Amino acid sequence: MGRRVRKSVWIALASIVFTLVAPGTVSADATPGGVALSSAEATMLEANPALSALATTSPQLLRQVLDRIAKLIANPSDARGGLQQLTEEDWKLLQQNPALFQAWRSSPEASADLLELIRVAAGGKPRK
Amino acid sequence: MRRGLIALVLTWAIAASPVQAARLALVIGINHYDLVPPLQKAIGDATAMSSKLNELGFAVTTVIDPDRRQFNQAIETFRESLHAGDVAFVHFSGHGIEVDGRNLLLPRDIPLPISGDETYLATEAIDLSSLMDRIAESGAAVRIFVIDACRTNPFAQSDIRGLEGPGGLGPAAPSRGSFVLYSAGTSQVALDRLGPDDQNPTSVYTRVLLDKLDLKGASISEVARDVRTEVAALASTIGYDQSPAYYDGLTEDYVLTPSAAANAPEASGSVEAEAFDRARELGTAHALQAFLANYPNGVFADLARAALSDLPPSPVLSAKDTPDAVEAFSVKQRLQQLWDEAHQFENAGDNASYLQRASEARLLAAASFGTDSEAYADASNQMVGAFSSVGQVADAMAASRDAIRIYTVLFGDHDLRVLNEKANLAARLAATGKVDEATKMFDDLLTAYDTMPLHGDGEAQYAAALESYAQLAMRKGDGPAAERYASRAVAILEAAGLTDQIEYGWVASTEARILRADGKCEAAQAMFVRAASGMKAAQVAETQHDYANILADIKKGCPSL
Repeated sequence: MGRRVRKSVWIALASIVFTLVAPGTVSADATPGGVALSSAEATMLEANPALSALATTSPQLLRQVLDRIAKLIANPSDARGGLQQLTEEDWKLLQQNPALFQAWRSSPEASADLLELIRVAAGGKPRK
Repeated sequence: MRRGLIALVLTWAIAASPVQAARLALVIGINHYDLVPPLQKAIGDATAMSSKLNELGFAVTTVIDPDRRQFNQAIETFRESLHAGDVAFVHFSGHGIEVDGRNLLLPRDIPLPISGDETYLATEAIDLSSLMDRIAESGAAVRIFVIDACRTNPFAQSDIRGLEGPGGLGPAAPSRGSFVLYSAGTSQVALDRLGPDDQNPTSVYTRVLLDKLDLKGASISEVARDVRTEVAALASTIGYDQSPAYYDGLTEDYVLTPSAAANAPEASGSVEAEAFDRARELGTAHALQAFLANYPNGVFADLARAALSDLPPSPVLSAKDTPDAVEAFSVKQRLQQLWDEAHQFENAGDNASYLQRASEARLLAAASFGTDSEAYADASNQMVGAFSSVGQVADAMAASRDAIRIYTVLFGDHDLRVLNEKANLAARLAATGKVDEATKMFDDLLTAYDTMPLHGDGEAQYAAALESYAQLAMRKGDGPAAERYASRAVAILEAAGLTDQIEYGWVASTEARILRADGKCEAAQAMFVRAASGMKAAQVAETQHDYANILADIKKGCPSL
């Protein structure tokens, strides 16, 4: 079924988890839209094409998305389940963006809005 | 590093008593899922449960983080270790889902729930029913399963055919000899923890269960009930609705930790004997009276009368006897559980167990709330179907009359509950040849329904009454009236948007048979197709009796001219 996660994704995932839980270091880095990023966030953008695309197309949303990812990872679900189906489109997004995958694994239900936000920002149609 | 984790299998020392059937347990906990979210407490559950079961004399095999293959191997090894008459205890802590009424336990390497991959996901999971069947094959006399996992359906929003909504179909009735404890109700999530500050090493459900397992003299069903109440209360403290469920297929109560005192010999071996035991245990006048109402000429009737005469006279429920609000809540939950179980047995075709559960509920309602209470009326209503299922139509009608009497006193004679019960009674009067009484009752009923605003259940009940009246009209040879009532019933359900209910299948097939009897074969065929469509939409199995008859009727077709 082709559902296996590539090794490279795991490595990227591990680095993202590390950068997200490491103390935030404010840097002067800025996206083309002028959003201030910590060095950890800048690294995250490099490893997550959906986020780097967002920095170009919808920089105003980038800060919101980054904050949501951090919040989801810091607040894992208390439930033993709550799994919801993913579309092929969601799955591709998670495969290619380890930070989003980590956010989903932390709290699948709460990640639905995040994925929707990113899809719509990339020009997709809202599902709701 | 996690990739390098292999299933850790620990076997605890055997401490079972040599004079008893062996007690063996398989305990599985999974925290470190490959793809789906990791858990924090499942391994803690497995460790603590293994320790507790070991104290209770079980030989325990503990399996940590198994993938599907290891999971299956563990089940197979466990099955092979069991012998006829043994006691088997299986505990699973991890992720679970419920799809199409199947409870699926997710091994460590379960794939993600991608839409369109439902079948693939199901084949990669461990089907609880299959697991139970495999353990049952061993001949173990008592089989207890604890499932501490969610029961939500990740595909609930899917438009894929064959997947029901978030409510699910509910579990199949457990096989005889099995007792299943779920940490959550159908379609509910189970809590891994009570928030980020929860330091307890075990889940919300398992921590409560661990405390109750060694209660001396408590049966497993009593343990399950206690745990349910406590877990629901704990979950509500953080705003979650988690109401653990259990399904009892045991032929008699099983006590994990026997009390020191010897038990008095009990009547056993029949539904009536079990009901008598229950009434005697409850020891109240209401319980014994309810037993006598169910079994006035039974083997134990004289004993019940003797026990009743020994009680001090208390015709009115005293304030002391009245359950307080908490007890009342608990009893009502138990009643609902018994009715749920009763209907599972009904659907499984086990009518004796259906009657047994419904009878137990009626006894409990009588003992807890009195024989003039709404709960007793509800329980009597449930008995109508239960008695009918075993051919005790006279008893069914007596139960129906009890319910009508109480509902009328409590809610007036135009209440939907009264009308529904009158329809039940009228249908049975008609079936037993009391045509005049049935006709009058139906006429009164239809007049009452016509004057009431109806929604949802009311419309469905009205349609059911019309259908029964149509059948009576057919029996009387009044084809036009039968067709009129039946087509009206179909129209009511269609207007109410209830065409995806089993009731629509019943009503439409009744109209189809009336049309066919009237020589209108083409119209009848079309109506049978609509009936089949309703059955299919309601996800009734094609082998189910009514659905199978409808399909057979469609297959017959019409004779060519």
